[in-house]
Amino acid sequence: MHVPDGLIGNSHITSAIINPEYQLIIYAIISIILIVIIFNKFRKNHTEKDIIQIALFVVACVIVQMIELPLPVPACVHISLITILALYDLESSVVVYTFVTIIQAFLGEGGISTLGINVLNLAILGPLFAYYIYNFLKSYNKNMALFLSGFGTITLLGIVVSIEYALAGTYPITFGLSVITPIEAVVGVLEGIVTVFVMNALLKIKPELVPVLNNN
Amino acid sequence: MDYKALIVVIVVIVLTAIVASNAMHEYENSNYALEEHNHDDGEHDEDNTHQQQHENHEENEEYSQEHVTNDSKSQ
Repeated sequence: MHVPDGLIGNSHITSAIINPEYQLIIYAIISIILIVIIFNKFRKNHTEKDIIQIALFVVACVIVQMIELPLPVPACVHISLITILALYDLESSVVVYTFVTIIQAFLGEGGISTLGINVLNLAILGPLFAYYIYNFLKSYNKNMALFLSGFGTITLLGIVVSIEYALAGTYPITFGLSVITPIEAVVGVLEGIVTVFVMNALLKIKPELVPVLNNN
Repeated sequence: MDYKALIVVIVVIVLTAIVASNAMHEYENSNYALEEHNHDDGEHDEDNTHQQQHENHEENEEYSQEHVTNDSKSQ
């Protein structure tokens, strides 16, 4: 879920702990530090050959995210493929999603001032949620773990965004948890279903792209 | 057939549908509006420019009419 330009700072509530504009700067600094660490790790563990794959993933993600789902709410609702990428390779997924978020900021999803918060949510927290939810649940049932990983990632991101909006004073936390998160949960269901189908299809066609299903 | 996964998926879908329908009612009754990206910003600006042009055109027309009447009076 992208945070658009101009929404944080446009406070309905006056009780924001830190000035919302400063909050955006803090999110940006945290994102830059984490991205630098992860990019360095990525450089050590990957070769130049992987760059082509990363570029293809970026293109695929941007195209998939351009398809808006028709829900009766004025929010950008689309599938993100975060889980599929995170389960392929956690570091690669962070790199891919950083580029996807930057490209999308220029395509009307998210924004320049909110780039830090969007990178933090979508490129760092999203893949981490997906990876750890799957690893936590995979012992029960793999397909169930895949579905719940997709569903849980998007729903948890909805909760994170609700908390961030509440901290900035844009929406109260009750509105975030009772409206924004359930809408994200609907997208989460679709994300989960897509994850299960795509991962199972990839296992049959190109098993090297789904190492998590291959190894065990 | 993976019945275990299927049951979990169905339960999650049903629960999400109930919660989402409740969220829609909540959203309609709330004073807040979800503000996401506006693809029609350009159109809006265009409309404004068009309106301004229209107003300018009307002003010019009024001015030229006044000019003509003044000219005829002076003659």
